Amino acid sequence: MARFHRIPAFAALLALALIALPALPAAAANIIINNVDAPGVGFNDPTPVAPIGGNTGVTLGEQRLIAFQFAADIWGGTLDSDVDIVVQATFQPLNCTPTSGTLGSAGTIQIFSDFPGAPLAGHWYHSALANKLAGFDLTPGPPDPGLLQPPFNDDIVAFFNGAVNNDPNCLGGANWYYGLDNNPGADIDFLNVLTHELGHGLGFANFISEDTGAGPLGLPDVYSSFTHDNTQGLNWNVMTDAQRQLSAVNTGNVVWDGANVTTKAPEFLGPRPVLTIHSPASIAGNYEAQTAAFGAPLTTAGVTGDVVLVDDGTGTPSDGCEPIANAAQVAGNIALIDRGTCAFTIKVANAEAAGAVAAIVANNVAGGPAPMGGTDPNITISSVGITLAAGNAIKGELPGVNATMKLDASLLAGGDDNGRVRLYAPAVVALGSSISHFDTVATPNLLMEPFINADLAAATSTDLTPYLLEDEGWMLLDSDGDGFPNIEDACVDSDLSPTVVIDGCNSHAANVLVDQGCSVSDLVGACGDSASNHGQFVACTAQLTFSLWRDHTISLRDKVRILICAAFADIP
Amino acid sequence: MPHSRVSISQLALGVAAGCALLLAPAVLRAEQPADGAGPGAEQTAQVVAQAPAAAPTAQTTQPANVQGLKAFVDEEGRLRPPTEAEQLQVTRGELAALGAAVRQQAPVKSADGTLSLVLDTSYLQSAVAHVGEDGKIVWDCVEHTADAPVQSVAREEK
Repeated sequence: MARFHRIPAFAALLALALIALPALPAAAANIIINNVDAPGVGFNDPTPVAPIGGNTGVTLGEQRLIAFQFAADIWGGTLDSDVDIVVQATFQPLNCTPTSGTLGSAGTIQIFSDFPGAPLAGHWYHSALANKLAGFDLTPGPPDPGLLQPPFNDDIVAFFNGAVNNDPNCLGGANWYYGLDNNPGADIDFLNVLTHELGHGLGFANFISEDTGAGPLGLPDVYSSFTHDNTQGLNWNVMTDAQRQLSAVNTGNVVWDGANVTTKAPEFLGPRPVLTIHSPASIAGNYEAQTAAFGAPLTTAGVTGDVVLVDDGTGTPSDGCEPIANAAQVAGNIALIDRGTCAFTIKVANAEAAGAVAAIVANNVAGGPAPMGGTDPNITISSVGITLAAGNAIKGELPGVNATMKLDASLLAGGDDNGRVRLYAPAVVALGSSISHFDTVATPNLLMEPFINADLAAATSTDLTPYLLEDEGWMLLDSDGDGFPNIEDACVDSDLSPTVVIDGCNSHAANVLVDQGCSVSDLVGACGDSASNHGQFVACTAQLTFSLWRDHTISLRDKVRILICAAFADIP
Repeated sequence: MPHSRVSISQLALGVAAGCALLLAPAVLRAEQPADGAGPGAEQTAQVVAQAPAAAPTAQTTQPANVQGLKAFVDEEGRLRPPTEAEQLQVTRGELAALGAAVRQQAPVKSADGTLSLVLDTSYLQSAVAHVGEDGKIVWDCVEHTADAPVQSVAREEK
């Protein structure tokens, strides 16, 4: 019986002929953990713990290993490779303070260029990807004997901080959450962190130093070949070092130029928040905006009003950190506030208290819009962040600026105007963050943004990351060869027999593929799985075949043939 | 297993504490800015950890790709607790020490034309967490590069 995930809406079924499907061999990438921790520590820590969040481990070490393997299996179940991927893993007591600390580090151990099967000559590839493209292990041999020790046969190294363990001197007593359900509460979700870091090791990173623009031995890398600067009109792999330096801080104008990510982006990104200025004409147009993590969600209809700069009468009067002094002017209008001094929530709460219908926070540094993080359930108005430049443009025309804050459904939140997904390019280079992540303006949040957000759930989705890896040369695993990668396939092990066979009865009805990678046989099988008696099975099959016939997925004759076989089947 | 079971943090602090008192005066002389140091200037003694056969030396600047363990002294040469940023720099030193072997690796060109290079730990992506104003922990992804300033709270809410 095929493994069945869920039954699609029959009304939306689309028929695809099975005979058109390629019969491709598929192999889940086998990710092997090379535990280099000493006995009694790290992954071998014998401290008893209670199972949590689906993690059945009963010692700390077991739980760490189970969670690690779970994350490895997420990627293994996503990517197709005939070559094992060895991840060297360790829990080390890395440095930590009550308020900050390193959680972990990961990356490829070795890089390769000009190997057999390399799609691009003179470009570096991550070890695991190079092996996959070559079709064999470029550094064969047993796992490395220790942490970053020769002969460097392993592909990825991953450090994690064992000091994060309910110690008040480390991140205020936070602990790793080793559950497999992305439900960490106040703790740190090991699964999200690990899945993110493994993504880097598999290919989501360049090897360019963004502050110099140079790559190792002067060579670019495969990631850079898809990194495009809209201003320069060039991809990073053909730029000079100086051009890359310039591009690294070209906020909002560096995008991923890969077809798979661009095609899938509308499935993962929502409509883009914009600030549309209607008047005066001198500054009219759309401006980039960032939605807030608090307050009323922005809508496509949006909020329209005159813009009024707040004055709180204290310090920097436009920062809105104290009660608004010019409330009479602000009431009924959109409050404009400058970033700085206090939390975004305080600014917006003060604006709301003054009667503002919405609020705009202008950044106080060059680059992207003010990020608008924070939590305050008492705030009910909408607010957005805008750039320093946009804020200055508005201030230069006050009073008399009329604007709408809204979601533009024709544009992607996190994409450029051509639908390509933006990469993180802050105005000041953040080594390791710049370029090797998706931009923080992406909404909903993506796994590979530089700041991992609480709404991510790597256990159920790695969003656009697999498609970026696919652009680089990875193949997405399609276990049953039905043309639907496992991450999109509702039936990952489809019954792809040419005809529908029920309990040995060949109906001779065409076993066509319908929506989301499920065949007719899969759906009939699901009826059998869910039925508690034969009558229920037949009734379910009758309803199924009726829907398929009504939607012109199967013929009336095939409908009857399937039902006859169902009626005579010994199911359940 | 081949790697040390000694806590690297403890190692860092221990080595640093032992060496810093010896090195601090020299370092103070070497690193004293010509203008007498600006506000908040802090003195640093660096103990180079990657060459165990050599005597520890103080450096006025930190060369590229050389990372080490650090102790922190005040303006009078006394040990003082490191700032949070400095502690994160120590983490980078820890990783560099753990990955000392990879820094010895030269690029290799195989007969079939394959070029390979073992990367040092400066290429690792790191997740750095901090406790936000609301008490919740947030984290961001940075790179371990010794010369780079530690990224401060990148997701501040101001």
